Amino acid sequence: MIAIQFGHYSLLASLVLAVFGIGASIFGALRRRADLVAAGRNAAVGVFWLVSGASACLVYLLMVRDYRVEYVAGHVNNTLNGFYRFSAFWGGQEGSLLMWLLLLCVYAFVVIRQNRDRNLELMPYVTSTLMATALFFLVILNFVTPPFDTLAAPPADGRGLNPLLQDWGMVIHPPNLYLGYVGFAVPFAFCIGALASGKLDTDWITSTRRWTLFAWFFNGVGILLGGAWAYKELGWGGYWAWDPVENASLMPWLVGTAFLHSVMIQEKRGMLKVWNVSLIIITYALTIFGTFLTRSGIISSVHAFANSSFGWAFLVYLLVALVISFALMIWRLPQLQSEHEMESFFSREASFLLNNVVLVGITFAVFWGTIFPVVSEAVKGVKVTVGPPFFNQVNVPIGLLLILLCGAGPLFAWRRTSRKQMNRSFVYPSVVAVGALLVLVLFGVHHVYAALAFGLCAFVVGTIVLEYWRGTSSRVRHQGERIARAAWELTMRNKRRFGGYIVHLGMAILFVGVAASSAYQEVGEVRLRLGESFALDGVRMRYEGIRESATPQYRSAFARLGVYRAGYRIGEVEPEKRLYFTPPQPTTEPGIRRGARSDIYAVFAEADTDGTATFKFMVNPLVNWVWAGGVVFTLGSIVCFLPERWGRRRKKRA
Amino acid sequence: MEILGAVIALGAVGAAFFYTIRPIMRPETARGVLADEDSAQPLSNRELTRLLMEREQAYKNIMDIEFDKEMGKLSDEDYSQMMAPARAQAVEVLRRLDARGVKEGMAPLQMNEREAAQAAARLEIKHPPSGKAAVEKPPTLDERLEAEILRYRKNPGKSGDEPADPSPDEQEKSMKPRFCASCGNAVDEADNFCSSCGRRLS
Repeated sequence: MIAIQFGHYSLLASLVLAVFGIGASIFGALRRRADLVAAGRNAAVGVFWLVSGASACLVYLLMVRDYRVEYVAGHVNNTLNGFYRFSAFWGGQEGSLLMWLLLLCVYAFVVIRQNRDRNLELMPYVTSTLMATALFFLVILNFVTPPFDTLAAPPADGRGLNPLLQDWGMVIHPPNLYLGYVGFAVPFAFCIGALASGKLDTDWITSTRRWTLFAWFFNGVGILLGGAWAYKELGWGGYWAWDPVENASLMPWLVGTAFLHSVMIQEKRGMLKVWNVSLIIITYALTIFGTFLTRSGIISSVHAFANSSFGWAFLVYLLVALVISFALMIWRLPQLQSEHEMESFFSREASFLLNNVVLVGITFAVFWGTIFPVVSEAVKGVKVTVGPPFFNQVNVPIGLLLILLCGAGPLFAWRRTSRKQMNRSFVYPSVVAVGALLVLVLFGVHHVYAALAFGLCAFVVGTIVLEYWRGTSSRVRHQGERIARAAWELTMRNKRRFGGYIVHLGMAILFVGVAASSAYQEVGEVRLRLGESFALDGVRMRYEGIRESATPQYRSAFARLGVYRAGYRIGEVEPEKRLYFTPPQPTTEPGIRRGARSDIYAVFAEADTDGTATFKFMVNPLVNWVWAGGVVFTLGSIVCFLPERWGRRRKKRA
Repeated sequence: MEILGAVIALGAVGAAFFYTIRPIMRPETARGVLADEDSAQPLSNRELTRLLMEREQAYKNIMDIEFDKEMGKLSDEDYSQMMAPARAQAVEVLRRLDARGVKEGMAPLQMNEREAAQAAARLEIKHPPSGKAAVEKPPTLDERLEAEILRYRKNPGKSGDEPADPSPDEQEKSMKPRFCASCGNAVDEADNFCSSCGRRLS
């Protein structure tokens, strides 16, 4: 009971403190009252402690299975192990909102600590912006979906966690995505701080560069983990379905990517100030929009919390945030003029701008496709669902252009590149790309988009190799270093640039995987008797038997399938069908034999009484390249994130 | 049990509220006035910090142009056309630093904003602004820029690696940079080859 009351009152008190914090910070900044600004800051710190306390209480209540609390009774049960009881914190509506708020408060706390003696002009507004976001979530958590509501008659056992969420991928995917989503609130808050205070130099950008990178990285990793989970758990053989909620997580990442590139132009050349402000406002709005999509109930999705009906609150908040942000931007327009003009179309700046336009274009297409069912229902009264064909048709060509830019951008110099230099830079990557394309076409790759994607990815890799070769050989010549040391030093001395190239390399690998697995996936559905086999894309699968097992949570049946290639047995897969007891729900666990060339993916659809069983088989070529690309993407992001001086060789003192 | 819960919750909430309003209650901060700019530093410090950060940006621009040249993205003509304004900007920052009595080598290179603020505070104590402007002869600034760019390029990182106040000998040495006879690029005393054109140095 102590934990329940503590949690309940902490959230209520946090709401009061957040309101006070917003008022004191803004009033203090406007009236130049240091005491009020300090009080506002302390209020934010107080909210952090109280919300942390409330979160700890909810985790504790889940761990001890206190079924008096409605949320606990609804999301854990007697058989659920500790790992999933902990993850039930973000497994439901109220808990996930509380986690959103907790992360926001942790970020606010860290930002306040980091900026104790800097950005003092901006900080009152930063604090109030972060607290305004916190206030919105506090209102929901206090008055709409309180996590500490109790039941009059506590049940003996809880309803348990959705079986689909009982997977390690689902345990770490939401926190990753949330780390990203909530993280974008920090650069947004600094942007609002800069607009409100009028301190519109690049300080707000340099101060939040790492925050942006952090949020963007976790948003990206969250998306990839979500894909990995869908592939392993949902049993339809893919990792991306243009589901509204998947789209919602992709959109802030795309605009965040645009922002990460375009801030470099502002830092270096004092250009695109209005554009950068707009991008971060839109990124923040898209994170709120994404949270709204999962809770509004307006769009059907595997991810949606179906029974929620407070989407309107998100829309109102979103609208208010957008109006205030853009009003501030318009008010400051005279101070947001570019310091320089774009000198040439053939420059790094121009290529970054083009990549921004492409990224925002993809975002718009995804946004339109996502909300189209709602718009069509509102306008024509008919809900027209937009499926993957629309998204693929629109986004694949734009995506190809994006890969081209990913390869071309690094070959331009800042300001301008002369035609001669450009020819010199472009020749090697282009030869690699055309060579790769010809070889692939000769070897039977005739899918136009896939071939183009492979060729362009080869172009990106060619560019990165060329950049590394030029930089490394220059260091070998001038510094007398060995090649490996020179490549290391080159990366460590230019972390942002070469870390970025490693991220590009990761994306190229990922795109190869995406192109191959979408264009060349082979699917077959078949009913087999014991001992019969089925061939697909040179692989034969033989149904060899069924075995059953049971755990306290579920009963399952495994179908054993021998996998043969060219007559030789290369292994076996065991797709599984599970029946969870509480809540009673069947799930399908595919049997996957992973390989660098292709994955063999088998789904056990059903077993009949006559001894036959129905299977769905898939051969997914190069799908592991998607995950490998994700690993390289992670490495590159870490390089970008490392402190500037880390990893360099120290000069010996004379 | 319920009473105990309420008491603990109220205690925590009370502590948070007290912590929040403490700045308003304390006599030393009561009705304290927020300074016009970043108030943790006196005005002269803040100007110095800004100048040091401007110096960082100017050097980074020069390094970027040099890096693009080294990577084969800039022709000689483009290189000289871009380098001229970048160097002019850096010389201007050096001139303004000079006017503040901050000579080359006094403040470490490759600083972030926090380190620049700390360096500014240190310099402020050692070399308070005297009001005597630009005592150095202007032509030497260009040479000093060469030396500093070199130092920037060679700087292995940690600001502590470089003594804040080099000895007069060291200053003398870095004030006299060597240039490549072939392309005119500034080179280090210890270099055997030019970092720009690769020609062996005498």
